[in-house]
This record gives sequence, structure tokens and C-alpha cells, in this order.
Amino acid sequence: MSIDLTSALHDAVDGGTPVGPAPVDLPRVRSRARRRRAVHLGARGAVGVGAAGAVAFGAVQVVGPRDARTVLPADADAVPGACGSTVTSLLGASDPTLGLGVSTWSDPDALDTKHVRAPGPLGTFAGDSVYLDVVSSLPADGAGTPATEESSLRDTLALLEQGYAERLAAQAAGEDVDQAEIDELAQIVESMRASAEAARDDGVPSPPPTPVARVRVLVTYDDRVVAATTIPRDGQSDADAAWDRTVAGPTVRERAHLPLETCTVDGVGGDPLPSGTYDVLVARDAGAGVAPTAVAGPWTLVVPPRVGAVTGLPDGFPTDAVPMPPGRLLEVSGDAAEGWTVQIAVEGDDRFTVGADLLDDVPDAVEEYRAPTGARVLVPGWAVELRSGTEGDVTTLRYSVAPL
Amino acid sequence: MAAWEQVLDELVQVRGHALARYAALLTGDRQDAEDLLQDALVRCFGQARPLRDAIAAEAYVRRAILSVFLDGHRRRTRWSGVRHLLARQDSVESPESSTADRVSVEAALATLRPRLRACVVLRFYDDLTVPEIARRLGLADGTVKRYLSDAVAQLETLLGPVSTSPDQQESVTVQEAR
Repeated sequence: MSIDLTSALHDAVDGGTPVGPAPVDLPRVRSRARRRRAVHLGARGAVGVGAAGAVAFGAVQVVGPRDARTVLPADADAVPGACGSTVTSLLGASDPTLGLGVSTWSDPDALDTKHVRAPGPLGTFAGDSVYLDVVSSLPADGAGTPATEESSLRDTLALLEQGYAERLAAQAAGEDVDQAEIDELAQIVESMRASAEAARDDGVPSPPPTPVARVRVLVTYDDRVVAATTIPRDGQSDADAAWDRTVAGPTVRERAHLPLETCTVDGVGGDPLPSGTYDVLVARDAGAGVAPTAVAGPWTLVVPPRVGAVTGLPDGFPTDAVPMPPGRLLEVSGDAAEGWTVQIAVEGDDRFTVGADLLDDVPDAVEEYRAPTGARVLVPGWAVELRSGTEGDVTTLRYSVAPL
Repeated sequence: MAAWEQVLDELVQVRGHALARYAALLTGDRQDAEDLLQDALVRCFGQARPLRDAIAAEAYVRRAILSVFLDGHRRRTRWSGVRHLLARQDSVESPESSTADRVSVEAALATLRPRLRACVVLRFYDDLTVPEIARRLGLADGTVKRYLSDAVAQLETLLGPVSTSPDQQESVTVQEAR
């Protein structure tokens, strides 16, 4: 018998019955497409570049398979950027003055974030929160010449003019570019140009520099904010916030602690975020109750599916004294007299931090050291050394448990 | 919901799985195929003037799948992951033969180099002619013929005899299995 390639391939593609969930995460596709469209259409013009004294915001978007039991916040009347609001109107070209990276507090292997990072994947995080480093190069955040309303407008105008020129060039090159789109862009550019000239003529004064960049991390699903955090925290003193701030050359880095739980609308919230992929945006806002004026991102952050506790450990293993994050047992050896070596599969770039925190939380535990390479914690009756690693594509934790 | 979003929803609902399987022919891996499909959908529906017709959109998305794939996006060789799936066909016809063909052909496809794989998919699924494939991939006609010939020969070493429809014989000369 021979195989008919044509019929075999058609059967492979068209012969299957559509079963199960959609093969792609539609809200994520819609969200990414909207953002791409916003960039194409110059939506940046309606957003603008942040001026000195602006408040910085960050946004994270939830995508991927979701836990249907979790009700995500929604507030149709909320100002964009607030909990439950949609951020569609904020999406546009990424603001190059803001960057985001994972803090070594969450991922010991994370690169130190000293520069404004371009959008990209942040990683997978299994813990109930994640530490992020927000990096800003805006003068208002502590370095360089303060931006002014006029310079902000001119920066925006330059971006719009560039986009307009690119679409014109594409049209001239024979690409399928709608004339209505060209006309719309031309109007936006002309409007922004008039605003820039008016600002120059009026001599609009710059707002005073803000000594502390206020950064909010938002979590959205389908362009809807479902979680948030802010630096400095509400009510936090500048002296306290300074501990999370590092000025390095032309940039300012601040650490944001983002709880991976839903934000609160009308008193409802605080649930663990469902598994999925989160896109991180960073924006600047003029103040509370006002929409942000510029957005950067998205970065992506993944919350892995929740799994059960490790099973299969032998009798006699001190499970109470040596708690482990949820995962799958890969190997175990040893005994109560000589001690144990256990390797488990655990998802998350923060697995080492999560595992070490669990050991620290054991009553009467003493952490002897914690470093990117490992940790040693004394728990009642046992000395535990913890290492993170990988086995092929599987991320792991290895425990060496010795009797004291 | 905007018109383009309705088209997107309808396309994914009706043809999403087929598009994912099409992408899987190229990637050799279902997860990579879904990522590839997602990127292709964003590329198609994220343009300033988005698609408004689901039927036309499918063709655009398939084309974008190929483009993203050939751009090298998440392109990986999956030979080690599919080696165990390879099995020569039994000589006895059975009701499951179609499914067996599919498993074996998909697995065998995954062993081809990406450009060869793309040529096979365009030729035998999209039913494009050699000149059309050449234009789509930016290759010379002769190169496409050679790729198809090499690909079919390589598939035959894994699957046994492979037949192509008569009208394709003129452009694909199947060489002796090496």
C-alpha cells in the first residue's frame, strides 16, 4: 500500500473533529491585535509621552487558559488604569523611557536590571507574588534635564510623523494601505503639530519634578485590569520607599512587589490569579483619577497551572519539618538515619524562592544562608540544603536533608 | 465588539483546530503550532486594515503561518520527539488506515528540514504549483522541484511508497529512495 500525500495531508488538517477548547487564547490574540492596530493607527497620539512630574504606572495582562472559578474584576466606569478598567485606549507605541525586569528577589538567576529593558518574557512564577524591577530613564525620576510639556509633545509628534511616513512609504511601495488610514494619520499628525506649536508659543511651564517615581503594576485580562500594585505603596513614606530605589547613572530602578491576586472592586477581590500568561505594561499618569499618559510594554509573565502537593515520599520522610511547594516527585533516596535526597519537578522561575520561604516559615527554623546558588535552613531535627536546577525541559528543586 | 473581532472569533471557532493542525504540519509539534497560529492571527488581525471576511481570512492566516514559520519563529527540529511515532504502513488495509497515515505522515514530515517541509505542505495541502511555491518562498522553480523531490524521497524512506496525484507527476520527479 502506498500513501497518497495529498489526501493524507488534507485528512491531517481537515479530517479532525473540532473538540476541546480553542487552540489559541482568543482574548490574548485580540489584545495583541488591538495593540498592534493601535501602533499602526498612531493611537500613541492620544496617549502622549509623559512629562516631568508624571506618575508611572505598569500594567500586566492576564492571558492563557484560565481558572473559570475565579471572577476577574470588571468596572466599566473606571478610569483606564484603575482596577477593573479597560486599558485599550492606553495601548500604543511602547514608551522607551520605562522598562521592567524580574527582580533577583523572585528569580535568583534574573539579570540585574540596570537599564531600561525592552518588552519581552519575564518568566513563570508559581508563588503568590513576584518582585519586579521597574527602570525609568525619565529625568523626572532623578537624572538629566527635566522633560517639559513642550518636549513631551515634540517627542510624541516625532513618533507620529515617523509612523505616518512609514505608511506613506508602504503605500508608495504598492502595499495594500487604505487611503482612509493615511488621511486619518495625516489629521492626527497635523493636530499634534498644532498642539506642539501652541505649547511652544504659550511657553507652558513644566510641572515640578517628582522626587519619587510612582509606579503601579496592573494585571489585566482581555485588556481589563484585574490586579495592581503601586510603588511607593499608598501611605508609604519617601524614606521607606528609598530602600527599594536605586539610582544608577541615568536610570532609576525601583522594586515593585506584585501580589498575584485579583485587585478589589466594590470589596470583591483577593483571589489567586488563575493560571495564564500576563502581559506587563508600564505607563505614566498625571495623577489619581486621571488616565495614564504613556504606556510601555507588554512584557509577559506566566502563572503556571496549580498542581497538587508532592506525593510518593517514603514513610519516615519528615514532611512536616521539610515542606515543599506543589510539584511532582522525580527521585528520592536515603533513610531517616543517613538523611534524604529528594528531587521534585516544580514550575516557576521563582521556585527556589518559594521553596526557601516555605522552609523559613517552619516554626523555629533558622536560615543559615540564602544565595542564588542555594540555601541552607535548619528546621527542628534536620539541616536542609536547597538547590534549584533543571532536568531537560523540567525545572526542579533538590533537597538534601540531613539529621542534626 | 468590532467587526474584525467577530471575524477573528468566528474563524477560530470554526477553523481554529484545522489551522492549528496545518501549523503542526510545519512545526511537528502541537504546542509550537498553537504558538505559531497565535502569532499568525495577531499578524493578520493586528494590521491597520484588518480582515473582515472569515473565509478570506483563513487563507491569509495560513499564509501568515507559513511566513512566521519560515521567519524562523519558534522553528525547531522535532525529530527526537516524534521518532517513536514513525511506523511503516501495514500491507493490510484497515478502517484505521486513514488515521495511521495521518500519524505517520505528520511524524515523517517533522523529520524534514523546514524548507522541505514547507514545500511539501504547499504542494500537497495547498495544492500550489511549483512556480507558485517558488514565488511564495522566494526560490527558483528548479530549487522547489529539487526540494520536493528530496522531500518525497526522504518521506519514502520512512513511510514506504508515496503516491502523488497524476497532475503532480510532471513537476515532481520522485527519485529512488536513498
